[in-house]
Amino acid sequence: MIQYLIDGLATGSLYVLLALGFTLVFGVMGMMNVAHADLYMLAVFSFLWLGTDAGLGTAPGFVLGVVAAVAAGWLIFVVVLSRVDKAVPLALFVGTLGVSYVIENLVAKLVEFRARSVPPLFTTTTWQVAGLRITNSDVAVLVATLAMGLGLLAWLKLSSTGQLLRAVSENTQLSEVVGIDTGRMMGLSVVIASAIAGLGGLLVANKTQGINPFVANDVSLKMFAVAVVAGAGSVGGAMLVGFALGIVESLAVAYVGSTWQNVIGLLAMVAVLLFRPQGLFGRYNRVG
Amino acid sequence: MASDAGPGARPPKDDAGSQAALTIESLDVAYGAIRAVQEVSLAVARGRVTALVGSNGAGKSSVLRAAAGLLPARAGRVLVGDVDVTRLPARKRLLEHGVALVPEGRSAFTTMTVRENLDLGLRVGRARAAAGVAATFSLDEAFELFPVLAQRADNRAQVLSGGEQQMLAIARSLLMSPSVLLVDEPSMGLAPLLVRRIFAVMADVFERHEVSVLLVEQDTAIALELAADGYVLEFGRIVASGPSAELRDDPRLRRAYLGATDALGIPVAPVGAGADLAPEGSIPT
Repeated sequence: MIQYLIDGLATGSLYVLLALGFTLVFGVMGMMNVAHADLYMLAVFSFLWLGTDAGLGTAPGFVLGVVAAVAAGWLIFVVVLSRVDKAVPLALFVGTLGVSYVIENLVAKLVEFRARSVPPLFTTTTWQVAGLRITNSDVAVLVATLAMGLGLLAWLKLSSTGQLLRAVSENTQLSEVVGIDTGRMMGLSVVIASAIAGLGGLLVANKTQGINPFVANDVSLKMFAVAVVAGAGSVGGAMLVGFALGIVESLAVAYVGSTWQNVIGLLAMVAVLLFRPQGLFGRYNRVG
Repeated sequence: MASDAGPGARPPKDDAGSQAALTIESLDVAYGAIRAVQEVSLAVARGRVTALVGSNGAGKSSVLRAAAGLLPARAGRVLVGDVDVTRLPARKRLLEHGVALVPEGRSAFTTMTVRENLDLGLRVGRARAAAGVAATFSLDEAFELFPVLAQRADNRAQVLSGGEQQMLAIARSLLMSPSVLLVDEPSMGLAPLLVRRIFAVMADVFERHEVSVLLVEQDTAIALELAADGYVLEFGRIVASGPSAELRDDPRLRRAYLGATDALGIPVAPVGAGADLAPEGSIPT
């Protein structure tokens, strides 16, 4: 039983890492970036190309992987997010969906539509503690997720820049009135979100030891589900719901059957949308 | 809290033309094909309150938002002192030239604390101080003037009443060390008694700190009570202007405020800031 909890936390970490950035951008810009999960994949392939194939080494490859995710996120911001008319949500949805297809197929073409194995960042060890299996790569993901999630939460709450981000997320027009550079704040939210996705992706790939160009298709839905159930813009909520989804999925696989794993998140999303459209922790228009 | 000094006690400001804190010249604002504001010219004398009054839909808020840079001017100019800011975005007008807006309605960040809201004003004030503009208003003064803000400093602005949120918005904008303050319909959505109180507080603080204010208000009587000078806007055009005392006591204009069409076209001697504003003809129909 406790073993499933541990496994669930590890799975949930991935959902949290992606949902954090997705919900941050949603909160600040009021825009869904459907291509967000592709940044995770892009970071891992950049790590493989630069760190492994080009022989730059693990640490430089890791850093460049994150840089690539941020660069791609920034490009999506400049080319699509900041240009599409916010009043037409469908345009935004289709626009970023298109970006997602382009990124995925471009990478797929480059790797000739094959998945690749990812060399570990460090030697994997599994500890046996009181009959439980605890792997150090799982612990790394979990610690990094908690650190980034709580760090982001504290930064939004306490720093002066975080305060400006919250102001923009609550009311963009009023933020202009009080002299905030709203475009810059939106760009900043995209950079932070992309860095978290890249960093998280590299740590998760270190655990799963594999990556394929279409991995985003599997995790995007979970990312949406977590963000929607938590409430768009709710960083703390995304953490709780992300971990909870991981644990519930892990338990479902164990006790109900693995075919149910992917259904649970979506059922939760529909249920929450029916009864609490702003999400469990959502208060409309804010991040934090 | 109302100031003891009546409008007459104010020292007369000389040469309002060159002393104007804000000047609007032949401003046109349009929404698509609809011309909301046509050839509006006005001047806000330094250290005084100028009211822009008129009925609902006359274009008052459009003038104000164009002055703030939130709406593009189709034609005409906006000057702060003698600097043309017409092409500058709202943020630069505020940070570089001190054009601060108190928007209409509830304009507090309700998910943030009262103190955080005031911080946003202080942030602009600091940027202006770095550019050499002396701060006119401190946080302590804000708390002294609006005690409720001190009591609620660490609560979310959400818990404030509409009137308190209005006071928060005014305090926030004063902390920006504005060179000219644009106040949009402060009475909007508030009970009459509360409107009286807000205007009394504004009269006191504007007088004490010699703030240059352009006040847009539908409640003509109370606006002209606060303001030294006034302009009357009808259908997007200025139809009358002059010292508030004269506008207030003019029986023909009293009818105009209420929207009576028989009073339009009465020539009103343009006195005070930014002369020759009243068009010769009547209101376009």
